[in-house]
Amino acid sequence: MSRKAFLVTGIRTPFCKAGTALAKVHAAELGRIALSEMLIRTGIPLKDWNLLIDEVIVGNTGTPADTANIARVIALRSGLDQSISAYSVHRNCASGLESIAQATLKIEAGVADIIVAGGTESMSNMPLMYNQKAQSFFENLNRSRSLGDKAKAFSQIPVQEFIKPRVALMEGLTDPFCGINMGETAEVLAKEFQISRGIQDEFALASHHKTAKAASEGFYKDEIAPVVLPHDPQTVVEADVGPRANQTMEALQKLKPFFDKKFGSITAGNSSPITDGAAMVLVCSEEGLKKLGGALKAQAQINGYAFAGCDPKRMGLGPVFATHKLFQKTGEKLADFDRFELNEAFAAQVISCMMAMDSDAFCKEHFQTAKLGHLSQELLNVNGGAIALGHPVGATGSRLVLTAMRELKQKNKKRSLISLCIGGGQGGALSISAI
Amino acid sequence: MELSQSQQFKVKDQKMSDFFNGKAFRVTLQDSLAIVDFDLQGEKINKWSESSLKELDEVLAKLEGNKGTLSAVLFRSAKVKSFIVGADIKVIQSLTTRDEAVFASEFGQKVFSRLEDFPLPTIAAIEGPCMGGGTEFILSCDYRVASDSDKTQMGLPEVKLGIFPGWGGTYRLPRIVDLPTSLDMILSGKSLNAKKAAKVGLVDQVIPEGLFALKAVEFARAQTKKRKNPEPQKSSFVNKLLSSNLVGRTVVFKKTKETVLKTTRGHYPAPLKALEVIESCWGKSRADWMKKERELFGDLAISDISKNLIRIFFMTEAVKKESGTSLSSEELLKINPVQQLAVLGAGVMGAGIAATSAARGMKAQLKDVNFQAVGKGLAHARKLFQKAVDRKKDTALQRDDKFRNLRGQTDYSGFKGLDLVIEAVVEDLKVKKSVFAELENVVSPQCILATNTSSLQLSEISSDLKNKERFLGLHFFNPVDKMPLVEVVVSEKTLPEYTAKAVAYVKSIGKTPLVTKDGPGFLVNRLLVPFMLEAGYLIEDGADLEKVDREIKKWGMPMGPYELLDEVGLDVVSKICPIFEKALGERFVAPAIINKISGDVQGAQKRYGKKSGLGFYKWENNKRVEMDRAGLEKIVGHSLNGQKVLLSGEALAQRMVFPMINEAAVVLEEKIVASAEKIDLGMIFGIGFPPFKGGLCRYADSIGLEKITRELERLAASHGPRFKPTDALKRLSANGGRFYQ
Repeated sequence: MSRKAFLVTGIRTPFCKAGTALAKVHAAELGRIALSEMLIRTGIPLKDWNLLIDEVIVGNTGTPADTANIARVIALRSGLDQSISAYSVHRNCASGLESIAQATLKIEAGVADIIVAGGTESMSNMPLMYNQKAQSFFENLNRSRSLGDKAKAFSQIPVQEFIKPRVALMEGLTDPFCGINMGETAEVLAKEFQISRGIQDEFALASHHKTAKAASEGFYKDEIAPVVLPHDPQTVVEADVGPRANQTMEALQKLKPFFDKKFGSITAGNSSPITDGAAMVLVCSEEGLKKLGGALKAQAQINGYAFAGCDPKRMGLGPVFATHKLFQKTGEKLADFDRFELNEAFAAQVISCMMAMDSDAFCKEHFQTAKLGHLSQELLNVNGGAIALGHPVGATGSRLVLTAMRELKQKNKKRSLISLCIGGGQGGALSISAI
Repeated sequence: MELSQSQQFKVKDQKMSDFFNGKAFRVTLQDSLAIVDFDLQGEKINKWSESSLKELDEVLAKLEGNKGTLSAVLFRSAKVKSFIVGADIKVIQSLTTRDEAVFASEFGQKVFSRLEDFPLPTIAAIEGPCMGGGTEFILSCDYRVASDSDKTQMGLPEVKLGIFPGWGGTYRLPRIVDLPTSLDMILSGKSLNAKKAAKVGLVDQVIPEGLFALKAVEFARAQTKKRKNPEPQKSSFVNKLLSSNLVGRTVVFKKTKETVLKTTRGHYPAPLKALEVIESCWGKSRADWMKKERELFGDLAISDISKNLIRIFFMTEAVKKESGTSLSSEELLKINPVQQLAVLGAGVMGAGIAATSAARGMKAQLKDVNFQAVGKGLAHARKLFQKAVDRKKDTALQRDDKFRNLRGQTDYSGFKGLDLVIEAVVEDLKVKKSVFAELENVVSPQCILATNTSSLQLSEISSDLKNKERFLGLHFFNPVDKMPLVEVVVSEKTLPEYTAKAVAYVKSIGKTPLVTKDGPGFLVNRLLVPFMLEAGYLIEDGADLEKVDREIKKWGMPMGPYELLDEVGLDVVSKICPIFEKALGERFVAPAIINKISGDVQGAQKRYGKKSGLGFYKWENNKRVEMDRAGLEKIVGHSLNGQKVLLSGEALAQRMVFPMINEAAVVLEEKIVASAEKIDLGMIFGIGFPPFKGGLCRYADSIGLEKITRELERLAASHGPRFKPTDALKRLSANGGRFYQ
């Protein structure tokens, strides 16, 4: 009998627009809070978890310099035992999905039974870096031994270079192959698929309204763990900062295209904002569930996952490629799903994906198959998406799986397809079904 | 290839031979190096007693006889990471006459002087604790090397036992480290780790733990000369300036004396006597110095203060070993330690308990009704952790790790996984009962449920509980981070497993547990309340309150009664008074004046004490400013000039402390705690009853219960029936007249 992986529980921190409520919280601390909260809420003592957990896998893209293997830092600071191994994964925008895929892989392969998988990102804390000239100055200064040499090195201080730092966040969001920004890749799609500004803005508006509605109906109540700010414990962040219940078309229409002032349609309003947050899920085998002794039940089964490459310049179409690859592996088809979580990096990018999936021409050209089919907007991101919630790059994949798992359970749905586009020209997809 | 230690660090094969094999010492010769291993038989640690000192003397004599074939002598400990913990304290305790004490000092002085005069270089290799007589021993060697193990500590803690180093320590330490550092070490009793010891010049070299055995021998082999007339090697410029001339030294001695008097309030003579030895002997010969040292040592060693402090030392050592139950060691082994707990109520007490637990590595959840309250509690905890950083005790990383052990919450999530829940909500029976009713349904069956109540009884709070077996009291004192005592209150229903687990928890957060039975005020508050009530009666008598506070502090209490009332809160006191009166009757009838004062309002300001900014004293920013005598006189309606009441320290003590003794007799008879010793422990660590007096019962014994009974009868006649000697006291008085039989 082949081994299956199950999603058991999960939690996330609030997702807060960069520079707001969680701006001063380190990515490791966000992850630590999500992980401790997930474990504590199970009611299983930590000392028991120490005997149960085989691995902690955490996705993260920023890799803060002081936490090179951030998963290990998160695991130990959560109070887990030193003996539990932990590693970090980086698949850019799908790092938080990659961690769950890794967990699935290990469980299916029979090398683990209980794995914590998740993702974390603090985009507020992406560093500014010295440029090469400024770095050379410090190297020279370091190398000079005598006082005279030091003085000489110091006299060559390139003052103007210090106010021209390299911005890690901008560089990270720039494609290293075609040299354009992620937003510009969305512009490429908007133009090729001729997606109007109006359609994009409507999509964005719906995202805010769906998110706000879900929040007001209490959908997120058990999904979000409050964060007590470590540096200021009197402040407790309990809700997402980003979704706007009162977002309007007028407000969205007022915004200027950010990347192409003349012909462009991508604005800050119809793109996902840079954001801070973390999410964790627990992935178990059937054996693992037995080890938990009935204390926790499986919420969903992982049917399969796939990652596929595509044109970096059109990275937004990644979900189409990944979905095709996944279906080839699992034999599933679009019509099997009654829920979809397709990450809203950009409204234009999501719409392009839906158009490409429903296009015979596109699918024939790329897959030599008939079209994948129609993805109904009714079934897509029903609790809102990243345009409202934000996209803390390393965490989003885990957030999508967590939300999908909870949505299936709460609304009594059968199957959900989670997919993301990945900077650098990739897509990731993962299929889950209700138990 | 197989690596073994001898291959990695090839030790030249030395000719080894046994030289001496005694009950405390083993001497082997490695070529010309004599290695003396201290390995006291039948003990886990090395300590000095008459016999081990004698044997050292023997070893030295035998080595002297062979000096021609030897190059140096290395002293080590054969115990694992423990050097010499000091002199056998039991021996010090048993000294009764001055001659005996002086002789004990002289004997050690002689042996250590022989070591100092030994014709060859002597080296001490220190790993693990090296305390008191251990440190005096290494000071008598020419050279000292220490392992950087966390366990390595060097110090002279004698003052904590009411004595000072009496084996040449006062003479030798100032010759090796500078004067201000020596005084600091001898007078405060604090110890140094290897790194700090090297910094002040107490050790010559710090060796990494892993290489210690090897490098210590190498160091010893390299020593060919004795150290002539040692003088402080590592002294700061200022310290050198101060120590090198008469004026500087005079300043140092004067300043030090002032500091000592301030911290001891003149109640502890040992640091002053040590100072006297060093100051008066400065520049004198070793013989003169030693003579003075042993004479003053003799005075101290037989003093009541020293005996009391030693007794308290043994008392606390004993508590460390007790489980608080009669469970066997096998049964105790089966009890899992508390690792995760929750505290309900994020006020100062609740937050303090959570913080103290988190600081010791436990996962502590802090719950209150809303995040505003929880956040305030967590902020309080964070402040406590930050203090340790400010004092350079912790790093920022350690502070953050402690904080990460805390979790704030407003629901009962995660309670299933807890080992212990401590309730610290408002002191209201109804609220507490409803909290426990909820708790019963959200925790696992093995989770201990504890209340931090100070005035309610367990039997009342637990009356509706389904399971009373895991219910007990954990009574912390305010401020939690500083107060060393926790009363572990057990009911008749509490199972010993849970008591033992709670006791172990209290120890693991660095506090002293005191198991008490359920009853009004348990032990500490029950004995403290009469003291506070009497303060109220003194107001009615028109006493000069400031003077009362002053006199009581002079007598030895850490705080005067009115300072204490302000700290506790007058609202709290007036709330608990009727509870005690109801439960314990006549002896606890509260003076009406307390309610009158606590009910006073000045504008918008309530007279609750420290927390409202006004009580007996005026307070600003939590600091006492001055007694509000005018305000108080207005309330009480008569002058508070003290003309009508006797106010000498002893007379005051009779009025305020004798009622405590009266109650202690009842408490002992009711077996609230197991022994008079436990009452003393509770009073010393719970309210700071003067340790030099040995505790409440010890103090009572020193006066004699018969005399106390008579005094109480006299006071009852003149001041009211609250003073009437209890039957319990009368029985004790008739039955030997002492608490300690």
